Amino acid sequence: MMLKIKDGGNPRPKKINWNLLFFLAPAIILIIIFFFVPVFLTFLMSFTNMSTATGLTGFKIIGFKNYLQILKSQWTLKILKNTLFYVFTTLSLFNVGTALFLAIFSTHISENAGKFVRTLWLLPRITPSVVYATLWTWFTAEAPYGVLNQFLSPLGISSRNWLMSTPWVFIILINGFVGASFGMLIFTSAIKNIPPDYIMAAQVDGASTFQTIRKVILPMIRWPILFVTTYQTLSLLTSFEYILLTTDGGPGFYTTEVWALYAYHNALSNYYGNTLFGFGAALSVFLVILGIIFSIIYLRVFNFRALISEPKIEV
Amino acid sequence: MRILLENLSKHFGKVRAVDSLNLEIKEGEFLVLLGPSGCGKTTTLLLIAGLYKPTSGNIYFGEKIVNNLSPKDRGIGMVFQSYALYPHMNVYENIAFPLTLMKKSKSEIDKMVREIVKFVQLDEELLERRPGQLSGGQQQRVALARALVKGPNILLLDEPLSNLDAKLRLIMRTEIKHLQKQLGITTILVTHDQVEAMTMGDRIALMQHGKIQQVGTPDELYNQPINLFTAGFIGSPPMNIYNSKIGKDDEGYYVLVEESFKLRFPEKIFRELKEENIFLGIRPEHVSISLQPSNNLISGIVYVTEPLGREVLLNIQVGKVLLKSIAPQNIKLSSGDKVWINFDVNYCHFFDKDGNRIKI
Amino acid sequence: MENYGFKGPIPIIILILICLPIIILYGWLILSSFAVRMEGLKPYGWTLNNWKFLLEKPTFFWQAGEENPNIWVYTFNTLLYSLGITIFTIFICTTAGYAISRLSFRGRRPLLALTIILHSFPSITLLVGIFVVLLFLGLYDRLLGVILVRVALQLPFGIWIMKGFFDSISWDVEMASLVDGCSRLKTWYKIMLPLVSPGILALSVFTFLSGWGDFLFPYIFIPSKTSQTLSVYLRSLTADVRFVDYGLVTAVGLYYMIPIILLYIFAQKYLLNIYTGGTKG
Repeated sequence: MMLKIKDGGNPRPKKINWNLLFFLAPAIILIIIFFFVPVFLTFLMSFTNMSTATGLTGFKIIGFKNYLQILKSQWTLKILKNTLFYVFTTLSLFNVGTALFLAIFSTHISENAGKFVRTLWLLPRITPSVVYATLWTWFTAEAPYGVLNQFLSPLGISSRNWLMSTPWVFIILINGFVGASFGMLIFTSAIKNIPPDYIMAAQVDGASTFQTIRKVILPMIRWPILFVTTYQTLSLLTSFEYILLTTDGGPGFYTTEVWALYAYHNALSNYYGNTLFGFGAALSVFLVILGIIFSIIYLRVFNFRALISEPKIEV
Repeated sequence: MRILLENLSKHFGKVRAVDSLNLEIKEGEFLVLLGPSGCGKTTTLLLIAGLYKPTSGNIYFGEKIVNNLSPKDRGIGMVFQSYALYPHMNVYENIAFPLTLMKKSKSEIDKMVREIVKFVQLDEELLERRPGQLSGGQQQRVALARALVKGPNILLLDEPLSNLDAKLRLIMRTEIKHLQKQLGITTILVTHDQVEAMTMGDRIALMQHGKIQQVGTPDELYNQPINLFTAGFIGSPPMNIYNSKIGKDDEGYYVLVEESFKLRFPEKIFRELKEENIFLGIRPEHVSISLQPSNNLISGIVYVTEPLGREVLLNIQVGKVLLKSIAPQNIKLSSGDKVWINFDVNYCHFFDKDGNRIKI
Repeated sequence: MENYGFKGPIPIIILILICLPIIILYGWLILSSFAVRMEGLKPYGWTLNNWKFLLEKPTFFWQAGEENPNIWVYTFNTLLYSLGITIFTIFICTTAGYAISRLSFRGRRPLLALTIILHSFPSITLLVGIFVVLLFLGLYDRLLGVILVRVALQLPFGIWIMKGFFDSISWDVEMASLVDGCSRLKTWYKIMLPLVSPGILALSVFTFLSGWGDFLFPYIFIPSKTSQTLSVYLRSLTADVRFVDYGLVTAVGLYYMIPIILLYIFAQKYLLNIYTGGTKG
């Protein structure tokens, strides 16, 4: 029954670790091509006048002209204001506010009712954006089609296309109904992870449900709240899909245009057919830099050392 | 298969988990690596298994150095603390797994699995079950069968009994020892339980801080502990160990125990005790008590009694000292009773101030 | 805990109020797809005409003329697109996730740090750069190109999720398989992959769903009509607001959502885990 032992005396000469190559090469190659190279290109292109007209070869290096143009443009301030308004309002009202309300409410009613609320509110997130946008355009459409007008006309409010007459309200609602579910899920799982002992202790001490929420639950989920706030700030700053699908920045000139959409319009789809890759890239650079800063902050906030324990096998 | 560890070290960053270890395990021997958690015993086992690579030093299997050999090529079988059965395979597939990797024929695999199942006394009915549906003892047998089925030269056992309840642990202890003797397979068992080590091992290597403190038969470790660590670690209830001073008065030499009482020994013993400050150790079974007052006995007060069934463990207070003594269970004592204590001087151990045994 | 929580009629009213807007939105979608005409939530006459696009003869991309590809071409494209993303993502995330979780190699720490950084990096800001990369690689306007882009952008998230699942597998099991005679590669697919199958399932469903609903990437990177996905097709149906056939739009929209709703119902448990475990807003 003796098994033969192979000779393992001499240390193996250094050679390519095929195992490691197999496991890591695909991921690393894709990440380099579609993260690193684009970041690099975005910076480079921002110093050129590359556009549909110049093509990928006929462009010139124009230094900081794109950036100067951003500074001088009459629209920059307007778009910056739009962006800040959009991010701040959606974030506070929905991505954090409604999310918190839904999480607390749905964990303080019967288990099944709570599940129902959360399932329903997750629906906008998993609905294809195109379908979701259609739902809202119809909801806000003119009489006799629009659902909203049907509700409001008995109250004596005159019929109109709500998306076009009060665009910001609906941009925020449309994004907010999607955005609320992220925080809702994070907060719900945080609340469910609070050891019941704390809540029972508060009950024994005579706290009402509201007092328990305020004095026990909210303080205990302050980290998730901070996390969702910062994380969603970044998401909102760079998101433009739902705006593109509903108002497309309008009505009129840049009424609901946000920075990310402005960059997209200039670089990849403008009304004149000549898309300005260079100028769009310069606009994107601001978002890329913000993204990098935020991401590095996350690395600090995530307890990095706790996440990486040493492997226990060394073969 | 003989195993030799030569100046074996394993460092994790600045931590020296195993520190210049030298140890020989003889062909067919059952060796136990014993020590408190974090002493490096499991690391040593994983080095032998090839799951860790040594920082320095050599591992020999027979005459061959195997430092860089993959675990799969070492001809070892291993049982883990958690049994590590593959949850997605049934018992049969678990046991057959090493054989399928050796590309054996189906009929051959079937024959070998049935053979080993009988050998470890596993119920054949269980073969279709998933590991999750088995009791701890059954899982243990499956793990043993899987480790032994390919006929390894070396069997490695990592705390195999610690997840079993007390009764089952006794059964499996006997059984593993029996299997090992039947197969004559070189076996290394890692445990923190000194009773397990004493009962199972041909020899025990007691480890602390990545170093071997003492290697020897259970009898040697129990009766001739080489230092204070071994003395304190082996034996349950543990040895009484006291900070003591040697002195001389009108009646001759004495040992003053914890500034509380004096013990007198034959003159020849003091010829070896050269230092003034020593540690005195004595096992509870060598401390006897008497209910009758006597002049040459030390008096003490019963602090608490702990009935152990067959006998009683007495904790007796003498001055500042708390002393453990084993007494027959029919002795009737309770806290506060006065007793007289006798030390069996032939069984006293002496250690110098660095903790090393002073040979008498 | 019996007395803890909101009681009485007020919570029920709040419950109805917060659920109503969503019920109205989706209720309208269902009603409209079977209605001749809708005014608000009120249907005028019932019909199955809106669904007659389903009766078109199935054709596939190799048969479809440039002129009028039908719903089956778009469905097939969407399926190809989301399955492609899912298969690539699963393969790359299970390999890289395993390596980061389990293998010891130089550069493991920086790689994990990079994963975390990219994981929260808003990849949408890279559209311009990616556009140029695709042009250079000759992958612009090709399904494979946009699939690779989507896979790459999803990788940090997926690797992170899979790393978590690999982390939770006991080391003893992996050690046992190595002692039993496996190489690292064999251990990966014989032992580890079966053990992280819940993670693979969750990530697959998540990736498939997000691919199925994708609009921006196919819209920007595959302009050709023959390789369009359902989302882009639906968008073209609604593009000119004045002449929209809402019966058709809602029927196609509902048709488009069927796989999503089915998967959501059957895999909800896994999905909720991944929505909270990963952190992609």
